[in-house]
Amino acid sequence: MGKAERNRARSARERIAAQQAAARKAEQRRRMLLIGGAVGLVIVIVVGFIVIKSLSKPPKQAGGNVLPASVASEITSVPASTLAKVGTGGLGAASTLPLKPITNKPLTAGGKPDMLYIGAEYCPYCGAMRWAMAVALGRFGTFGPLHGIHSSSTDIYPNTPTLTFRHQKYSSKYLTFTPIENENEQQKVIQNPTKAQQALWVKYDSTSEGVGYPFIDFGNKIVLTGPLYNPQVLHGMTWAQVASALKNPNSTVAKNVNGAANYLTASICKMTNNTPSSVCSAAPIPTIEASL
Amino acid sequence: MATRQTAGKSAKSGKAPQSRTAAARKPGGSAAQAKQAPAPAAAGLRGAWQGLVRWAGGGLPLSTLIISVLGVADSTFLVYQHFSQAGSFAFCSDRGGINCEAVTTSAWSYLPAGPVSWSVPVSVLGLAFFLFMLAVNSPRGWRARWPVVHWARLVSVCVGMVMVLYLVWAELFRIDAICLYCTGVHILTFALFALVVGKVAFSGVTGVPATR
Repeated sequence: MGKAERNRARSARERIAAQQAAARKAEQRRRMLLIGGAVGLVIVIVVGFIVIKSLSKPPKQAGGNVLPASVASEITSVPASTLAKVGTGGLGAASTLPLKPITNKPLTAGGKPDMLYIGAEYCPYCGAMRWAMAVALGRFGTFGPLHGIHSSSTDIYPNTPTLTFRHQKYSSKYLTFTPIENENEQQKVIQNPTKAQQALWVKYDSTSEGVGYPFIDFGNKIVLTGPLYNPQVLHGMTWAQVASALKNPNSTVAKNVNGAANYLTASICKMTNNTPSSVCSAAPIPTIEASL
Repeated sequence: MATRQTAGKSAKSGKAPQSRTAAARKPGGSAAQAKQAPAPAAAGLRGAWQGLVRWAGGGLPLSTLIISVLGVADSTFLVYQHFSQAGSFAFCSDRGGINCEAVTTSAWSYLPAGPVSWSVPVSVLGLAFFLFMLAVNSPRGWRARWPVVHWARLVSVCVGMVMVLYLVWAELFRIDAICLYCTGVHILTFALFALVVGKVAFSGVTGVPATR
C-alpha cells in the first residue's frame, strides 16, 4: 500500500470515527431529552398546579371536605334499634332543654312543613347540633353529599368537628329543610335569612345580647334556641370517628348525639303530624313527643 | 491509602494491589498496611455494599428496590390508617393546609371519587402498586428474561405517575389540604418513574444481565 493510499485509508478511518462520535453524541442527546422531557413534564405540571392554586380565589360554594359515602351513610342511617336504646341519652327532661312549643301559623316551604335552621360555621354549639340534625333528618329524607368542617379555632370548644349545611342538598316528601349558615368559620357573613326568617329568629330567640345560634324552627310548632348537649364530647375526634361512634349506643357520642337526634325527631314528627309512622311511632319518639 | 481499588489495578500509592476481601485476609507485614489497620471495618462495609449492589443487579436496580420497599411501608401505614379509622397521624396535623385526616377521609380517598358503592380506597391501590413494583424491581425481576416484565415495570410507573398527578390535583383543588404521608408516596413514585425512564432511555426496555 502506497503512502497516498495509507493517507486515504487514515482519512476514511478518521471520518468514520467522527461520524461514530457524532452518532453517539446524538444518541446521548436523545436519551437526555427523553429523561429530561419526561421528568421535566411532571415537574412542570406539579409546579403549574401550585402556581394556579396560589393565584386562585377561594371557592364560593359550600366549603368543607366532602365526606366519603361510607361516613355519610353512618351518620344518616343510624339504626332505629340504636336510637331506641339511647332514648333521651341522659340529656334530661324536655322542660330543662332549650326546646319550647310555640303557637303561630304553620311555617311551610314548597307545600310542606318547613324546618328552618339558622346557625354559623364558626359556632361550636351549632357544630354539636348539626350531627343530631343529620341523624334526625336522615330518617325523613335523603341528603346530598355531606361536608365536614371544624368550628372556630379561637372560640370556646375550638375545632369541634362538625358538618356544614351551607348549600346543603336535602330531599324529603314529609318536610322541607331550610338551612342558613349565617357566618363562616372566620365569622364573615355568608348567607342571610329572609326578612320573614329574620322576624321569626328575632321573635323566638332574642336575648339582651341579641339573637343567637343555633336556632331551629320546626314548622312554627316548636323552636330550639340552644344546643342540647355539650360540644366537648366531640373534642379531638375526626368526622369518621364521630360517625362510627353513633352506631354504639353505649358510647358517649351516641348518647349525646342520638339522644339529641331523638328530641329533634320528635319535634319534626310534631310538625309533620306524625308521618311517617315508621319513624314517629318507633320508640322512644312517642314518649319524647308527649313531653314536648 | 488507596481510595478506590479495582481488582487488577494498582493502588494509587503504588503498593501491590489488594483484593476486596483484603480486610478479611488481614495481609500483614508492611508499615503502610499497618497504617490501614482501621480500614478492615470500612472495607468490610464497602464489600458488603458492593455485594448488595451486585446482588440487586446494579446501582439503579438497587435504588428502585429500596424505593419500592419504602413505598410499601408508607402505603401500608396509609392503609392501616384508613381501615382502623385512626384519628391522628403522627407528625401530621388535622387542621389547616397540612391535614392528613382531611385528605384520607375525603371522597377523593376513593377511586372513583364520591359516593359510589364499588369505589376502592386509594391507599389500597397505592399498596398494590408498590407491592407490584417490589416484585418487578427485585433482583429476579430485573433479571427476568421475559420482556413483558420490563414493559410492565415501565407502564406501571407511567400509570402511577399519572395517578400521582391526579391525586395532587385533588389535594390542591378539591380537598384544599395536603397529606404528608401521601406526599411521601407521591415522591417515591416520582423517583421510581425517573429511574425507570432513565434506564429505558439508556438501555431500552430491558433488564440487567444475570449474575455470573
